[in-house]
Amino acid sequence: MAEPEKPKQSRGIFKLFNTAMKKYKKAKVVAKNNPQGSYAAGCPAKNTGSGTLGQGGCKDCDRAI
Amino acid sequence: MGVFFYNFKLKMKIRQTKDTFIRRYGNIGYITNQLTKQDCNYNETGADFLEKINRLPKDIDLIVKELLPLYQDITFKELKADFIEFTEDLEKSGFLLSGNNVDELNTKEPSFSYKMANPKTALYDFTNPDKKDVLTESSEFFYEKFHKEPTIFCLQIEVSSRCNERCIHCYIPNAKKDEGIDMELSLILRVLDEAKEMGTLQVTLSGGELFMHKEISIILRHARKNDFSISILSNLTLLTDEHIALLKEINPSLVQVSLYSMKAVEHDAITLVKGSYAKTKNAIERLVAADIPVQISCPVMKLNRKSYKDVLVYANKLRTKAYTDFIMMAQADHNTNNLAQRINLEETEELLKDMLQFDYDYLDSTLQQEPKSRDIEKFKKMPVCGVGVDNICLTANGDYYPCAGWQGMVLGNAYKQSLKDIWGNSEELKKLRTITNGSFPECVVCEARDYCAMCLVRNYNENNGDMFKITKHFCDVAFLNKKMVEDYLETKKIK
Repeated sequence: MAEPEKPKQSRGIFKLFNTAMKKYKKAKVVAKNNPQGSYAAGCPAKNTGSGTLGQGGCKDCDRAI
Repeated sequence: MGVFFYNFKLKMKIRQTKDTFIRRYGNIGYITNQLTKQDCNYNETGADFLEKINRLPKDIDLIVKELLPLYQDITFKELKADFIEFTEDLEKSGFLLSGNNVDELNTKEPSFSYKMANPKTALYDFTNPDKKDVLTESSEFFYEKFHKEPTIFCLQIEVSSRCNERCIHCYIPNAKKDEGIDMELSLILRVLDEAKEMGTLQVTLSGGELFMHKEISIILRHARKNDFSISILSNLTLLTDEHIALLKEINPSLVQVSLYSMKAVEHDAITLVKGSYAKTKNAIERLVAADIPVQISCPVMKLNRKSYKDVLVYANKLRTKAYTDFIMMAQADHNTNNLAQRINLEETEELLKDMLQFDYDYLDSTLQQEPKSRDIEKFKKMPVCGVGVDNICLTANGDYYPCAGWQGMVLGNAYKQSLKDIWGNSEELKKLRTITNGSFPECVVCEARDYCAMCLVRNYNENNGDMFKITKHFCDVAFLNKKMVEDYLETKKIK
Protein backbone atom coordinates (compact mmCIF):
# COMPACT_ATOMS: atom_id res chain seq x y z
CA MET A 1 0.00 0.00 0.00
CA ALA A 2 1.37 3.40 -0.91
CA GLU A 3 1.97 5.74 2.02
CA PRO A 4 -0.90 8.24 2.27
CA GLU A 5 0.03 11.83 1.69
CA LYS A 6 0.08 14.00 4.80
CA PRO A 7 -2.62 16.72 4.63
CA LYS A 8 -0.96 20.05 3.91
CA GLN A 9 -0.64 22.43 6.84
CA SER A 10 -1.83 26.01 6.50
CA ARG A 11 0.74 28.78 6.64
CA GLY A 12 0.83 32.27 8.18
CA ILE A 13 -2.52 33.65 9.28
CA PHE A 14 -4.29 30.58 7.88
CA LYS A 15 -2.57 28.52 10.59
CA LEU A 16 -5.15 29.99 12.99
CA PHE A 17 -7.86 28.06 11.20
CA ASN A 18 -5.86 24.87 11.36
CA THR A 19 -7.36 23.92 14.74
CA ALA A 20 -8.20 20.31 13.88
CA MET A 21 -4.57 19.23 13.80
CA LYS A 22 -2.66 18.93 17.03
CA LYS A 23 0.90 18.40 18.12
CA TYR A 24 1.70 14.71 18.24
CA LYS A 25 2.67 13.19 21.58
CA LYS A 26 3.30 9.51 21.95
CA ALA A 27 0.44 7.50 23.51
CA LYS A 28 1.15 6.98 27.19
CA VAL A 29 -0.47 5.14 30.10
CA VAL A 30 -1.47 7.62 32.80
CA ALA A 31 -3.07 5.18 35.27
CA LYS A 32 -3.66 1.47 35.79
CA ASN A 33 -5.84 -0.72 37.93
CA ASN A 34 -5.24 -1.28 41.62
CA PRO A 35 -6.16 -4.39 43.55
CA GLN A 36 -9.68 -5.60 44.24
CA GLY A 37 -13.00 -3.92 43.71
CA SER A 38 -12.19 -0.43 42.63
CA TYR A 39 -9.81 -1.50 39.87
CA ALA A 40 -12.22 -0.66 37.10
CA ALA A 41 -15.11 0.92 38.88
CA GLY A 42 -12.91 3.85 39.78
CA CYS A 43 -14.75 4.08 43.06
CA PRO A 44 -14.31 7.74 44.02
CA ALA A 45 -14.08 6.84 47.66
CA LYS A 46 -10.99 4.82 46.76
CA ASN A 47 -12.25 2.47 49.37
CA THR A 48 -11.05 -1.04 48.81
CA GLY A 49 -12.35 -2.22 52.13
CA SER A 50 -9.05 -1.55 53.87
CA GLY A 51 -9.07 -3.49 57.10
CA THR A 52 -12.83 -3.66 56.96
CA LEU A 53 -13.40 -7.24 57.96
CA GLY A 54 -16.64 -8.58 56.68
CA GLN A 55 -16.84 -6.24 53.73
CA GLY A 56 -15.09 -8.68 51.39
CA GLY A 57 -12.90 -6.42 49.30
CA CYS A 58 -14.83 -3.38 48.12
CA LYS A 59 -18.33 -4.17 49.27
CA ASP A 60 -18.82 -1.00 51.22
CA CYS A 61 -21.80 -0.29 49.03
CA ASP A 62 -24.25 -2.50 47.17
CA ARG A 63 -22.82 -1.84 43.77
CA ALA A 64 -22.04 -4.99 41.84
CA ILE A 65 -18.37 -5.36 41.01
CA MET B 1 11.81 -2.18 15.18
CA GLY B 2 12.29 -5.68 13.76
CA VAL B 3 9.35 -6.92 15.80
CA PHE B 4 7.15 -4.09 14.56
CA PHE B 5 8.13 -4.78 11.01
CA TYR B 6 7.38 -8.48 11.45
CA ASN B 7 3.93 -7.77 12.82
CA PHE B 8 3.33 -5.05 10.29
CA LYS B 9 3.95 -7.62 7.59
CA LEU B 10 1.89 -10.41 9.07
CA LYS B 11 -0.80 -9.07 11.35
CA MET B 12 -2.88 -6.56 9.53
CA LYS B 13 -6.16 -6.64 11.43
CA ILE B 14 -7.04 -5.86 15.04
CA ARG B 15 -10.16 -5.77 17.19
CA GLN B 16 -10.95 -5.60 20.90
CA THR B 17 -11.84 -8.87 22.65
CA LYS B 18 -15.47 -9.46 23.54
CA ASP B 19 -14.67 -8.74 27.21
CA THR B 20 -12.88 -5.46 26.49
CA PHE B 21 -14.63 -2.10 26.77
CA ILE B 22 -13.37 1.25 25.55
CA ARG B 23 -14.53 4.69 26.60
CA ARG B 24 -13.31 8.24 26.11
CA TYR B 25 -13.66 10.71 28.97
CA GLY B 26 -12.56 14.07 27.54
CA ASN B 27 -8.87 13.76 26.74
CA ILE B 28 -8.55 10.43 28.51
CA GLY B 29 -8.92 7.07 26.83
CA TYR B 30 -10.06 4.21 29.04
CA ILE B 31 -9.81 0.52 28.27
CA THR B 32 -10.92 -2.22 30.62
CA ASN B 33 -11.46 -5.95 30.44
CA GLN B 34 -14.20 -7.71 32.39
CA LEU B 35 -12.45 -11.08 32.05
CA THR B 36 -9.00 -10.14 33.38
CA LYS B 37 -10.27 -7.16 35.38
CA GLN B 38 -7.30 -5.11 34.22
CA ASP B 39 -7.67 -1.53 33.05
CA CYS B 40 -5.62 1.34 31.63
CA ASN B 41 -6.07 5.07 31.26
CA TYR B 42 -4.25 6.74 28.38
CA ASN B 43 -3.32 10.29 27.46
CA GLU B 44 -5.02 12.12 24.57
CA THR B 45 -3.11 10.31 21.81
CA GLY B 46 -3.99 7.00 23.46
CA ALA B 47 -7.61 8.16 23.56
CA ASP B 48 -7.46 8.95 19.82
CA PHE B 49 -5.96 5.52 19.13
CA LEU B 50 -8.52 3.69 21.27
CA GLU B 51 -11.39 5.51 19.58
CA LYS B 52 -10.45 3.90 16.29
CA ILE B 53 -10.51 0.37 17.70
CA ASN B 54 -13.79 -1.51 17.99
CA ARG B 55 -15.41 -4.94 17.99
CA LEU B 56 -15.15 -5.38 14.22
CA PRO B 57 -11.77 -6.39 12.78
CA LYS B 58 -10.13 -3.33 11.32
CA ASP B 59 -7.14 -2.98 9.07
CA ILE B 60 -4.19 -1.31 10.83
CA ASP B 61 -3.28 0.71 7.74
CA LEU B 62 -6.83 2.02 7.56
CA ILE B 63 -6.79 3.08 11.22
CA VAL B 64 -3.46 4.88 10.85
CA LYS B 65 -4.79 6.59 7.72
CA GLU B 66 -7.78 7.82 9.74
CA LEU B 67 -5.53 9.02 12.58
CA LEU B 68 -2.96 10.83 10.44
CA PRO B 69 -4.97 14.03 9.78
CA LEU B 70 -5.28 14.59 13.55
CA TYR B 71 -1.58 15.42 14.00
CA GLN B 72 0.67 18.15 12.65
CA ASP B 73 4.10 16.64 12.85
CA ILE B 74 4.30 12.95 12.18
CA THR B 75 4.57 10.81 9.07
CA PHE B 76 2.41 7.83 8.23
CA LYS B 77 5.32 5.48 8.79
CA GLU B 78 6.17 6.91 12.23
CA LEU B 79 2.55 6.93 13.32
CA LYS B 80 2.07 3.37 12.16
CA ALA B 81 5.12 2.21 14.15
CA ASP B 82 3.78 3.94 17.28
CA PHE B 83 0.29 2.58 16.74
CA ILE B 84 1.58 -0.97 16.34
CA GLU B 85 3.65 -0.63 19.50
CA PHE B 86 0.53 0.64 21.31
CA THR B 87 -1.64 -2.24 20.11
CA GLU B 88 1.05 -4.82 20.87
CA ASP B 89 1.09 -3.69 24.52
CA LEU B 90 -2.69 -3.95 24.64
CA GLU B 91 -2.65 -7.36 23.00
CA LYS B 92 -0.11 -8.64 25.53
CA SER B 93 -2.41 -7.47 28.33
CA GLY B 94 -5.39 -9.30 26.81
CA PHE B 95 -7.36 -6.26 25.61
CA LEU B 96 -6.94 -6.73 21.86
CA LEU B 97 -6.56 -9.44 19.25
CA SER B 98 -4.52 -9.21 16.08
CA GLY B 99 -4.36 -11.47 13.06
CA ASN B 100 -4.43 -11.78 9.33
CA ASN B 101 -8.11 -12.52 8.96
CA VAL B 102 -11.40 -12.76 10.83
CA ASP B 103 -11.10 -16.51 11.47
CA GLU B 104 -7.68 -16.11 13.06
CA LEU B 105 -9.03 -13.40 15.37
CA ASN B 106 -12.04 -15.52 16.31
CA THR B 107 -9.83 -18.52 17.13
CA LYS B 108 -7.81 -16.38 19.53
CA GLU B 109 -10.87 -15.01 21.38
CA PRO B 110 -10.63 -15.93 25.09
CA SER B 111 -13.76 -16.79 27.07
CA PHE B 112 -14.48 -17.07 30.76
CA SER B 113 -14.29 -20.58 32.17
CA TYR B 114 -14.23 -21.95 35.70
CA LYS B 115 -11.61 -24.40 34.41
CA MET B 116 -9.09 -21.66 33.56
CA ALA B 117 -6.04 -21.27 35.82
CA ASN B 118 -7.28 -18.28 37.80
CA PRO B 119 -10.93 -17.59 37.04
CA LYS B 120 -11.91 -14.06 37.98
CA THR B 121 -14.71 -15.47 40.12
CA ALA B 122 -12.14 -17.00 42.48
CA LEU B 123 -9.58 -14.18 42.51
CA TYR B 124 -9.38 -11.43 45.09
CA ASP B 125 -6.37 -9.55 43.87
CA PHE B 126 -6.27 -7.92 40.45
CA THR B 127 -3.11 -5.90 40.98
CA ASN B 128 -1.64 -4.99 37.65
CA PRO B 129 1.55 -6.97 37.06
CA ASP B 130 3.67 -3.95 36.10
CA LYS B 131 2.38 -1.69 38.84
CA LYS B 132 5.83 -0.33 39.60
CA ASP B 133 5.99 1.34 36.19
CA VAL B 134 2.81 3.32 36.68
CA LEU B 135 2.61 6.30 38.96
CA THR B 136 -1.13 6.41 39.43
CA GLU B 137 -3.80 3.82 40.09
CA SER B 138 -7.05 3.98 38.13
CA SER B 139 -9.16 4.48 41.23
CA GLU B 140 -7.09 7.46 42.33
CA PHE B 141 -7.13 8.84 38.82
CA PHE B 142 -10.90 8.50 38.52
CA TYR B 143 -11.38 9.88 41.99
CA GLU B 144 -9.65 13.11 40.91
CA LYS B 145 -11.37 13.21 37.54
CA PHE B 146 -14.94 12.30 38.46
CA HIS B 147 -14.90 14.46 41.56
CA LYS B 148 -14.28 17.46 39.29
CA GLU B 149 -16.50 16.22 36.47
CA PRO B 150 -19.17 13.84 37.82
CA THR B 151 -19.70 11.08 35.26
CA ILE B 152 -22.19 8.21 35.33
CA PHE B 153 -19.77 5.33 35.22
CA CYS B 154 -22.31 2.88 36.73
CA LEU B 155 -26.06 2.84 36.21
CA GLN B 156 -28.29 0.45 38.14
CA ILE B 157 -31.78 -0.22 36.78
CA GLU B 158 -34.40 -2.03 38.82
CA VAL B 159 -36.33 -3.29 35.82
CA SER B 160 -39.19 -4.66 37.91
CA SER B 161 -40.38 -3.90 41.43
CA ARG B 162 -42.15 -7.26 41.49
CA CYS B 163 -40.38 -9.97 43.45
CA ASN B 164 -41.24 -13.61 44.06
CA GLU B 165 -39.44 -13.65 47.41
CA ARG B 166 -40.03 -11.66 50.61
CA CYS B 167 -36.60 -11.72 52.22
CA ILE B 168 -36.89 -10.71 55.86
CA HIS B 169 -33.87 -8.38 55.79
CA CYS B 170 -34.60 -6.63 52.46
CA TYR B 171 -34.35 -2.82 52.43
CA ILE B 172 -37.12 -2.56 49.85
CA PRO B 173 -40.47 -2.40 51.71
CA ASN B 174 -42.84 -5.31 50.97
CA ALA B 175 -45.60 -2.86 50.02
CA LYS B 176 -43.54 -1.86 46.99
CA LYS B 177 -43.20 -5.50 45.92
CA ASP B 178 -46.89 -6.21 46.60
CA GLU B 179 -47.89 -3.44 44.21
CA GLY B 180 -44.98 -4.30 41.93
CA ILE B 181 -44.76 -3.15 38.34
CA ASP B 182 -42.46 -3.84 35.41
CA MET B 183 -40.71 -0.80 34.01
CA GLU B 184 -42.04 0.09 30.57
CA LEU B 185 -39.79 -1.35 27.91
CA SER B 186 -39.64 1.89 25.91
CA LEU B 187 -38.43 3.76 29.00
CA ILE B 188 -35.68 1.24 29.76
CA LEU B 189 -34.45 1.31 26.17
CA ARG B 190 -34.45 5.09 26.13
CA VAL B 191 -32.48 5.33 29.39
CA LEU B 192 -29.97 2.75 28.15
CA ASP B 193 -29.50 4.90 25.04
CA GLU B 194 -29.07 8.03 27.16
CA ALA B 195 -26.49 6.25 29.34
CA LYS B 196 -24.57 5.12 26.27
CA GLU B 197 -24.51 8.70 25.03
CA MET B 198 -23.13 9.83 28.42
CA GLY B 199 -20.26 7.31 28.41
CA THR B 200 -21.61 4.92 31.05
CA LEU B 201 -19.57 1.73 31.25
CA GLN B 202 -21.27 -0.52 33.78
CA VAL B 203 -24.97 -1.31 33.85
CA THR B 204 -26.38 -3.36 36.71
CA LEU B 205 -29.82 -4.82 36.09
CA SER B 206 -31.80 -5.87 39.12
CA GLY B 207 -35.27 -5.86 40.69
CA GLY B 208 -37.39 -6.83 42.55
CA GLU B 209 -36.65 -9.95 40.62
CA LEU B 210 -35.11 -9.21 37.24
CA PHE B 211 -36.42 -12.35 35.51
CA MET B 212 -40.02 -11.40 36.36
CA HIS B 213 -39.84 -8.70 33.68
CA LYS B 214 -41.62 -10.15 30.67
CA GLU B 215 -39.31 -8.44 28.19
CA ILE B 216 -36.02 -9.15 29.91
CA SER B 217 -34.50 -10.70 26.78
CA ILE B 218 -35.07 -7.47 24.81
CA ILE B 219 -33.61 -5.42 27.68
CA LEU B 220 -30.48 -7.55 28.01
CA ARG B 221 -29.89 -7.61 24.26
CA HIS B 222 -30.28 -3.84 24.08
CA ALA B 223 -27.77 -3.40 26.92
CA ARG B 224 -25.35 -5.62 25.00
CA LYS B 225 -25.98 -3.70 21.76
CA ASN B 226 -25.12 -0.49 23.63
CA ASP B 227 -21.79 -2.02 24.66
CA PHE B 228 -22.12 -1.95 28.44
CA SER B 229 -20.34 -4.19 30.89
CA ILE B 230 -23.45 -5.84 32.34
CA SER B 231 -23.96 -7.12 35.88
CA ILE B 232 -27.09 -8.94 36.96
CA LEU B 233 -28.57 -9.24 40.44
CA SER B 234 -31.16 -12.01 40.74
CA ASN B 235 -32.39 -14.72 43.08
CA LEU B 236 -32.27 -17.03 40.02
CA THR B 237 -35.35 -19.01 41.10
CA LEU B 238 -36.99 -18.39 37.71
CA LEU B 239 -33.91 -19.19 35.64
CA THR B 240 -34.73 -21.28 32.56
CA ASP B 241 -32.47 -22.89 29.97
CA GLU B 242 -33.53 -20.09 27.60
CA HIS B 243 -32.25 -17.55 30.14
CA ILE B 244 -28.93 -19.38 30.33
CA ALA B 245 -28.63 -19.28 26.54
CA LEU B 246 -29.48 -15.58 26.65
CA LEU B 247 -26.84 -14.94 29.30
CA LYS B 248 -24.23 -16.77 27.22
CA GLU B 249 -25.19 -14.53 24.32
CA ILE B 250 -24.98 -11.23 26.19
CA ASN B 251 -21.79 -12.20 28.09
CA PRO B 252 -22.38 -10.53 31.48
CA SER B 253 -19.50 -9.47 33.66
CA LEU B 254 -21.17 -11.06 36.64
CA VAL B 255 -24.38 -12.65 37.90
CA GLN B 256 -24.78 -11.95 41.59
CA VAL B 257 -27.14 -14.11 43.64
CA SER B 258 -28.03 -14.33 47.32
CA LEU B 259 -27.61 -17.69 49.00
CA TYR B 260 -28.20 -17.48 52.73
CA SER B 261 -27.31 -20.93 53.94
CA MET B 262 -26.54 -24.47 52.86
CA LYS B 263 -29.56 -25.62 54.83
CA ALA B 264 -32.80 -25.39 52.87
CA VAL B 265 -34.86 -24.67 55.94
CA GLU B 266 -32.69 -21.67 56.88
CA HIS B 267 -32.53 -20.18 53.38
CA ASP B 268 -36.27 -20.61 52.88
CA ALA B 269 -36.99 -19.05 56.28
CA ILE B 270 -35.19 -15.90 55.09
CA THR B 271 -36.81 -15.71 51.63
CA LEU B 272 -40.19 -16.82 53.08
CA VAL B 273 -40.59 -19.03 50.01
CA LYS B 274 -40.54 -22.78 50.48
CA GLY B 275 -38.40 -24.48 47.86
CA SER B 276 -36.43 -21.33 47.02
CA TYR B 277 -33.15 -22.82 48.31
CA ALA B 278 -33.34 -25.80 45.95
CA LYS B 279 -34.15 -23.55 42.97
CA THR B 280 -31.42 -21.00 43.69
CA LYS B 281 -28.73 -23.63 44.37
CA ASN B 282 -29.69 -25.58 41.26
CA ALA B 283 -29.58 -22.40 39.16
CA ILE B 284 -26.13 -21.45 40.52
CA GLU B 285 -24.79 -24.86 39.53
CA ARG B 286 -26.34 -24.64 36.06
CA LEU B 287 -24.73 -21.23 35.53
CA VAL B 288 -21.37 -22.58 36.69
CA ALA B 289 -21.75 -25.57 34.34
CA ALA B 290 -22.43 -23.09 31.52
CA ASP B 291 -19.31 -21.08 32.44
CA ILE B 292 -21.26 -17.94 33.31
CA PRO B 293 -19.51 -15.96 36.08
CA VAL B 294 -21.45 -16.11 39.35
CA GLN B 295 -20.81 -14.39 42.65
CA ILE B 296 -22.65 -15.33 45.82
CA SER B 297 -23.86 -12.79 48.35
CA CYS B 298 -24.59 -14.12 51.79
CA PRO B 299 -25.91 -11.39 54.05
CA VAL B 300 -25.58 -12.67 57.59
CA MET B 301 -28.37 -12.18 60.11
CA LYS B 302 -29.54 -13.92 63.27
CA LEU B 303 -31.22 -16.73 61.38
CA ASN B 304 -28.17 -17.81 59.36
CA ARG B 305 -25.30 -16.45 61.44
CA LYS B 306 -23.59 -19.81 61.79
CA SER B 307 -23.97 -20.73 58.13
CA TYR B 308 -21.74 -18.23 56.30
CA LYS B 309 -18.70 -20.50 56.54
CA ASP B 310 -20.62 -23.33 54.83
CA VAL B 311 -21.64 -20.99 52.02
CA LEU B 312 -17.99 -19.91 51.70
CA VAL B 313 -16.84 -23.52 51.42
CA TYR B 314 -19.55 -24.22 48.83
CA ALA B 315 -18.55 -21.12 46.83
CA ASN B 316 -14.89 -22.08 46.92
CA LYS B 317 -15.70 -25.57 45.64
CA LEU B 318 -17.45 -23.97 42.67
CA ARG B 319 -14.41 -21.70 42.16
CA THR B 320 -16.37 -18.59 42.98
CA LYS B 321 -16.57 -16.19 45.91
CA ALA B 322 -19.08 -15.50 48.63
CA TYR B 323 -19.30 -12.05 50.13
CA THR B 324 -21.15 -11.15 53.25
CA ASP B 325 -22.67 -8.10 54.87
CA PHE B 326 -23.58 -8.39 58.51
CA ILE B 327 -24.48 -4.78 59.23
CA MET B 328 -27.76 -4.69 57.26
CA MET B 329 -29.65 -1.68 56.01
CA ALA B 330 -32.97 -0.42 57.40
CA GLN B 331 -35.88 -0.24 54.97
CA ALA B 332 -35.98 2.64 52.52
CA ASP B 333 -39.20 3.92 54.16
CA HIS B 334 -37.27 4.23 57.50
CA ASN B 335 -39.08 1.24 58.97
CA THR B 336 -36.46 -0.57 61.07
CA ASN B 337 -38.37 -3.79 61.75
CA ASN B 338 -36.05 -5.74 59.44
CA LEU B 339 -33.13 -4.83 61.73
CA ALA B 340 -34.52 -7.19 64.37
CA GLN B 341 -32.52 -9.73 62.36
CA ARG B 342 -29.24 -7.77 62.71
CA ILE B 343 -26.59 -9.71 64.62
CA ASN B 344 -25.33 -8.12 67.84
CA LEU B 345 -21.68 -7.40 68.64
CA GLU B 346 -21.01 -10.75 70.30
CA GLU B 347 -22.47 -12.56 67.32
CA THR B 348 -20.46 -10.33 64.97
CA GLU B 349 -17.26 -11.26 66.82
CA GLU B 350 -18.12 -14.93 66.46
CA LEU B 351 -18.71 -14.45 62.72
CA LEU B 352 -15.43 -12.59 62.28
CA LYS B 353 -13.58 -15.40 64.02
CA ASP B 354 -15.15 -17.82 61.53
CA MET B 355 -14.01 -15.57 58.71
CA LEU B 356 -10.47 -15.47 60.05
CA GLN B 357 -10.50 -19.24 60.07
CA PHE B 358 -12.21 -19.93 56.76
CA ASP B 359 -11.49 -16.95 54.54
CA TYR B 360 -7.69 -16.74 54.33
CA ASP B 361 -7.55 -15.24 50.87
CA TYR B 362 -9.84 -12.46 51.90
CA LEU B 363 -8.01 -11.83 55.12
CA ASP B 364 -4.57 -11.65 53.52
CA SER B 365 -5.74 -9.27 50.82
CA THR B 366 -7.47 -7.14 53.44
CA LEU B 367 -4.43 -6.91 55.66
CA GLN B 368 -2.10 -6.05 52.81
CA GLN B 369 -3.93 -2.85 51.98
CA GLU B 370 -2.78 0.57 52.97
CA PRO B 371 -4.91 2.46 55.49
CA LYS B 372 -7.41 4.75 53.78
CA SER B 373 -6.59 7.69 55.98
CA ARG B 374 -2.78 7.76 56.04
CA ASP B 375 -2.96 11.28 54.59
CA ILE B 376 -5.57 12.78 56.88
CA GLU B 377 -6.04 16.01 54.90
CA LYS B 378 -6.68 14.01 51.75
CA PHE B 379 -9.00 11.67 53.65
CA LYS B 380 -11.06 14.66 54.81
CA LYS B 381 -11.54 15.85 51.23
CA MET B 382 -12.54 12.45 49.86
CA PRO B 383 -16.20 11.67 49.18
CA VAL B 384 -17.70 9.01 51.43
CA CYS B 385 -18.80 6.95 48.43
CA GLY B 386 -19.73 7.27 44.77
CA VAL B 387 -23.23 8.74 45.13
CA GLY B 388 -23.58 11.77 42.94
CA VAL B 389 -20.06 11.28 41.62
CA ASP B 390 -20.12 8.25 39.36
CA ASN B 391 -23.31 6.26 39.82
CA ILE B 392 -27.08 6.51 39.91
CA CYS B 393 -30.06 4.16 40.21
CA LEU B 394 -33.37 4.02 38.31
CA THR B 395 -36.39 2.10 39.60
CA ALA B 396 -39.41 0.58 37.87
CA ASN B 397 -41.71 3.63 38.20
CA GLY B 398 -39.10 5.90 36.59
CA ASP B 399 -37.77 7.46 39.80
CA TYR B 400 -34.04 8.05 40.00
CA TYR B 401 -32.23 7.54 43.33
CA PRO B 402 -28.63 8.24 44.37
CA CYS B 403 -28.08 4.48 44.91
CA ALA B 404 -30.14 1.30 45.11
CA GLY B 405 -30.85 1.49 48.84
CA TRP B 406 -31.63 5.20 48.82
CA GLN B 407 -35.24 5.00 47.71
CA GLY B 408 -36.30 7.70 50.11
CA MET B 409 -34.51 10.38 48.07
CA VAL B 410 -36.06 10.91 44.65
CA LEU B 411 -33.77 12.86 42.32
CA GLY B 412 -36.23 13.09 39.44
CA ASN B 413 -38.33 10.93 37.16
CA ALA B 414 -37.32 9.45 33.84
CA TYR B 415 -40.80 10.02 32.37
CA LYS B 416 -40.37 13.76 32.82
CA GLN B 417 -36.62 14.34 32.57
CA SER B 418 -33.63 12.98 30.73
CA LEU B 419 -30.81 11.25 32.59
CA LYS B 420 -28.49 14.10 31.56
CA ASP B 421 -30.87 16.67 32.97
CA ILE B 422 -31.17 14.88 36.32
CA TRP B 423 -27.43 14.23 36.58
CA GLY B 424 -26.59 17.84 35.78
CA ASN B 425 -29.38 19.70 37.57
CA SER B 426 -30.70 17.72 40.54
CA GLU B 427 -30.37 19.87 43.68
CA GLU B 428 -30.13 16.73 45.83
CA LEU B 429 -27.19 15.46 43.77
CA LYS B 430 -25.48 18.85 44.03
CA LYS B 431 -25.77 18.64 47.82
CA LEU B 432 -24.54 15.03 47.92
CA ARG B 433 -21.47 16.04 45.91
CA THR B 434 -20.38 18.40 48.69
CA ILE B 435 -20.30 15.63 51.31
CA THR B 436 -16.86 14.30 52.18
CA ASN B 437 -15.31 12.35 55.05
CA GLY B 438 -14.64 15.80 56.53
CA SER B 439 -18.43 16.25 56.87
CA PHE B 440 -18.17 13.75 59.73
CA PRO B 441 -15.70 15.40 62.15
CA GLU B 442 -16.09 12.61 64.72
CA CYS B 443 -15.01 10.08 62.06
CA VAL B 444 -11.92 12.08 61.08
CA VAL B 445 -10.52 11.82 64.61
CA CYS B 446 -11.82 8.28 65.24
CA GLU B 447 -9.15 5.65 65.92
CA ALA B 448 -11.20 3.04 64.09
CA ARG B 449 -11.72 5.10 60.91
CA ASP B 450 -9.71 2.62 58.81
CA TYR B 451 -11.89 -0.23 59.96
CA CYS B 452 -15.22 1.40 59.25
CA ALA B 453 -17.57 1.17 56.29
CA MET B 454 -19.71 4.20 57.10
CA CYS B 455 -22.51 4.55 54.58
CA LEU B 456 -24.71 7.60 53.99
CA VAL B 457 -27.78 5.62 52.99
CA ARG B 458 -27.51 3.28 55.97
CA ASN B 459 -27.46 6.37 58.20
CA TYR B 460 -30.36 7.88 56.24
CA ASN B 461 -32.63 4.84 56.25
CA GLU B 462 -32.02 4.02 59.90
CA ASN B 463 -32.36 7.55 61.25
CA ASN B 464 -35.51 8.92 59.65
CA GLY B 465 -33.73 10.52 56.74
CA ASP B 466 -30.72 11.97 58.60
CA MET B 467 -27.66 10.91 56.59
CA PHE B 468 -25.31 12.66 59.04
CA LYS B 469 -26.48 10.76 62.10
CA ILE B 470 -24.18 7.77 62.58
CA THR B 471 -25.75 4.75 64.20
CA LYS B 472 -23.72 3.59 67.22
CA HIS B 473 -23.77 0.00 65.98
CA PHE B 474 -21.61 0.99 62.96
CA CYS B 475 -19.00 2.53 65.31
CA ASP B 476 -19.06 -0.50 67.61
CA VAL B 477 -18.48 -2.80 64.62
CA ALA B 478 -15.60 -0.58 63.41
CA PHE B 479 -13.87 -0.85 66.81
CA LEU B 480 -14.49 -4.60 66.83
CA ASN B 481 -12.95 -4.86 63.35
CA LYS B 482 -9.92 -2.94 64.57
CA LYS B 483 -9.49 -5.18 67.60
CA MET B 484 -9.86 -8.36 65.52
CA VAL B 485 -7.30 -7.27 62.92
CA GLU B 486 -4.82 -6.12 65.57
CA ASP B 487 -5.24 -9.35 67.56
CA TYR B 488 -4.77 -11.36 64.39
CA LEU B 489 -1.58 -9.49 63.49
CA GLU B 490 -0.29 -9.95 67.04
CA THR B 491 -0.94 -13.71 66.86
CA LYS B 492 0.89 -13.85 63.55
CA LYS B 493 3.88 -12.04 65.11
CA ILE B 494 4.01 -14.49 68.05
CA LYS B 495 3.94 -17.44 65.65
